Amino acid sequence: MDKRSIFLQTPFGLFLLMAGLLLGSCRELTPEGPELQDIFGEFSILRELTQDRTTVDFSAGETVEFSAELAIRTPWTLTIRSIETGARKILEGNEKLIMGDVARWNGSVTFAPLFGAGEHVIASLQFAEFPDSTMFSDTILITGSRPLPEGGILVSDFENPDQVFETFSEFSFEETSNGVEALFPAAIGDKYWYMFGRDNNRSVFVCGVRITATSAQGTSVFEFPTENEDKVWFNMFVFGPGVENTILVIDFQEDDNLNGTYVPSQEGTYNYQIPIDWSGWRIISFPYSATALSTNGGLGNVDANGKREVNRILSLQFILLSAGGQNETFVGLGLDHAVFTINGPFEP
Amino acid sequence: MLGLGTGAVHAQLSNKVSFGGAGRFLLDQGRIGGDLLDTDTTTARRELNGLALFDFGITIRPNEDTEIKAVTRVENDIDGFWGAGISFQLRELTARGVAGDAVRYAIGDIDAALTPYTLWNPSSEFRLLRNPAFEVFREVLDYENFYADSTWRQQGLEAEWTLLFDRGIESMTFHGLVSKNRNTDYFTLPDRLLAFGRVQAVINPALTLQLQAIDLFEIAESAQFNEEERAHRAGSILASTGASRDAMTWRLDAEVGLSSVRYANLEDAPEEPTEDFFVDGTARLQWPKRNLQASFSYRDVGPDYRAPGAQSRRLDPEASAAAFSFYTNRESQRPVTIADIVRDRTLYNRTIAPELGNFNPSWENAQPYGQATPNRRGVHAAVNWTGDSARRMEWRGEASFLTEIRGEGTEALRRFLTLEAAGVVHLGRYAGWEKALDLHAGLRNQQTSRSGTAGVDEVSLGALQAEVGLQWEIYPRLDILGGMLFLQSEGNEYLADRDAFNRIVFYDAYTADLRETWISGGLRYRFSDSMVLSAQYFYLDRLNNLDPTTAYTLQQAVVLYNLFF
Repeated sequence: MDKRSIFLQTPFGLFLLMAGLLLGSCRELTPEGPELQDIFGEFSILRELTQDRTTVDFSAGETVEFSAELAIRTPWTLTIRSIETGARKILEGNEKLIMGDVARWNGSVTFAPLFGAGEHVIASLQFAEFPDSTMFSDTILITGSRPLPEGGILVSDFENPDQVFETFSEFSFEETSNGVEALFPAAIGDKYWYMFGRDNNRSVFVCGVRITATSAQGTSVFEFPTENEDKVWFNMFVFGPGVENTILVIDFQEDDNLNGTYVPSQEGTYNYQIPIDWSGWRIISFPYSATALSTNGGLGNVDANGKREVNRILSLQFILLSAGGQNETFVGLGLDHAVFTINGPFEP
Repeated sequence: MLGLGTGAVHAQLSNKVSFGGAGRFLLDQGRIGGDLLDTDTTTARRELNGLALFDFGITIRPNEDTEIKAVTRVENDIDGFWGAGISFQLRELTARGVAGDAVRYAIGDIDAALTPYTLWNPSSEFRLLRNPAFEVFREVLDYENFYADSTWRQQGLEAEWTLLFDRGIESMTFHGLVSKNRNTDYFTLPDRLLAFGRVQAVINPALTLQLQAIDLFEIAESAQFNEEERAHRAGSILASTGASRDAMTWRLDAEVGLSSVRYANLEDAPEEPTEDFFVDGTARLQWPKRNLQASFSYRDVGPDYRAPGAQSRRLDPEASAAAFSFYTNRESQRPVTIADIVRDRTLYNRTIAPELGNFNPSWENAQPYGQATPNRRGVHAAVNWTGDSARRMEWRGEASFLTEIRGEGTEALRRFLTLEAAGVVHLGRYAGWEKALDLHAGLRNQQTSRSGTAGVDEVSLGALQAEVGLQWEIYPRLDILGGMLFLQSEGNEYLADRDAFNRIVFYDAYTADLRETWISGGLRYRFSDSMVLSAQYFYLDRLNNLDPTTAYTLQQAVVLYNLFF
């Protein structure tokens, strides 16, 4: 390359560089995102918690909108509790202006039983980082309850005495309950499934119950209007008795070869595991795509088809585990209204 | 980029058929200990894991213009008894060749890259040096995740066509690719494709111009109930010039580019396109007789510059580690450590994603998305010395000073200072030994700072990484290996939470007071350069001073047999 070429070419690259530098000075430099001061500044309540009505008829489509204003954005929890039954609805957010959709209640429930007509509720607004700043609303009277959503495929509401349940348990575990009970109020209806026991051999598995599609739907596998695993949701009320180390595993056993039976060593089980660390009834919901292939050798960890198939679920198992693996550990839970929904979670 | 290879050495049976592949047997026994176990009664104290896998590749050349390559994999976890854990998969399938003596093409699995600002697979964290104690694990990790020369593995069609001229300019090369980035679910999630085009003009031996454009886009109609569409476009022009003399070679690269992100029929999406640009200028000097290279660069990457092909991360810091995945009685996910980063292939990402991924500021805070990290401006300098005439030592050093261009939640800007040095001393050569005795060492320090404002603390985060490696050949092909990797991070940061459109919606306060030390010792026998058997012991000591009750040690004994053939 001769000197003339260098003379011409070097400035070309420099020109590109200079053009970029000039463009750089033209940028909009307003800080990005919410102001840090709004999140990490000094906390104070600018406007107390209020609600837009003191009586509400959810059956007529009415809602209650709460509002409050804070000086900063911080994680908040709005808990609406029935004075009569203890039913709770929980709304969460981190806005500093709490109003509109983020603070609107349509009568649905997070911790069952369901809210009923004639009940009085009070809302409390709590802040995880400022526990001494809780605010309370006025009392609200429910004049009409929210109707149960229609549709869905009921696995069991545990109310039908003719439905078949297959139970199993760890023989050396001191099992005190594994069946339909009515010891305390159900989430919906009168009865629920209750599992409770004491670990006396440092085991993990306690007991379980199996419900087949045949006993639930009258079909060999559960039949859904879609095969999209993101659109098929499983929902259930789970009662936590407030004891530690309780874990619930929900198994979905797939009839991979569609021969009407499930062979654990050859066909896949997809499961969903959740620690039950709350007290009272609470609804859990998840899409079938959130499940994972079993890791238990010989117990559904091999899927003959190599994939999750929502249209081949032959049965469900609900298994109670003791996470502690220690002697004298009590674990337990209740199950009610197990239902599949399509397109989204069940919102009673 | 049409050359496709895994680094394997192929066994050729004839001109038309050749075989290649890889095999691995891994046995890994781990034991967890430390203060954690005083309160943790849930976590299993020991784990035994392992696998055996075999990749069998066959390359067929039906004629001199066509080549078809297929690699199948058989894998079996050691706890998958009686064949229960076996999986079979087609790992790679590619056809490539030359059409009409003019157009080179490839169909199937393709490794693609353009420039560090348009399509690039930036290296992950903790790659300070080629440490003999850890290198085989890093090679396995790269092989498993298809990381090769900063390319992303794509599945699609690629073509390249070169025109030669006898006057004006020397040649022009046209290069294009279309690949499938994501499959539709046929309901709500549409297909996503990646396409790029590149034109490279060699004006003369000293001047090259390169123009490239890349588009990551969705096809709304591919999902029945979907109307949403996203398109991420980026393009750049790269000019390279230079000259070569006996004493010195110099080269100047300048790249300027733009990006644009558009959303259609998406609720809450920005109505206006998100657009920005970058500029990079790099000068490289080389003194061949002195085995010395140096470079100096200036870069400015706009806060809204988005190029998913260059900004997707390899390493996911929030992934679940394969060994001892959970700990404490709460069964919390065990945070990823430096030991997991080097050894756990499941922590790594293989796909290009439009969202800016999570990163751990204690690992890398200045450029978590590689050179194309948005909202950075500054300089970078590097020196590389490959030793005297006897090549008895090699050293390199890098320094960069970057600042933010636009503040995050405040007018104040972060400043990032990174210093890095690494090298190897071939002690055996100093002593005149035929066998190798190599000592590797590296150090990296990164400081992040930002002044505080009313109600908001200043940012001050430091991260120190150190790495030492030893390879001593005590008998022909039999090596003693030693290694150490160290991380210490202390300070505070604010991490941005971003929504699906990469907008900052919240911040999490981040505090670090962490120390991780990972040491290793063992033996390795090299049957050949591509076939090794090693037995190593690893000891990890992790202390998070913010929660000393979770301090733990992890001892692992690993036997690895690895070959590429």
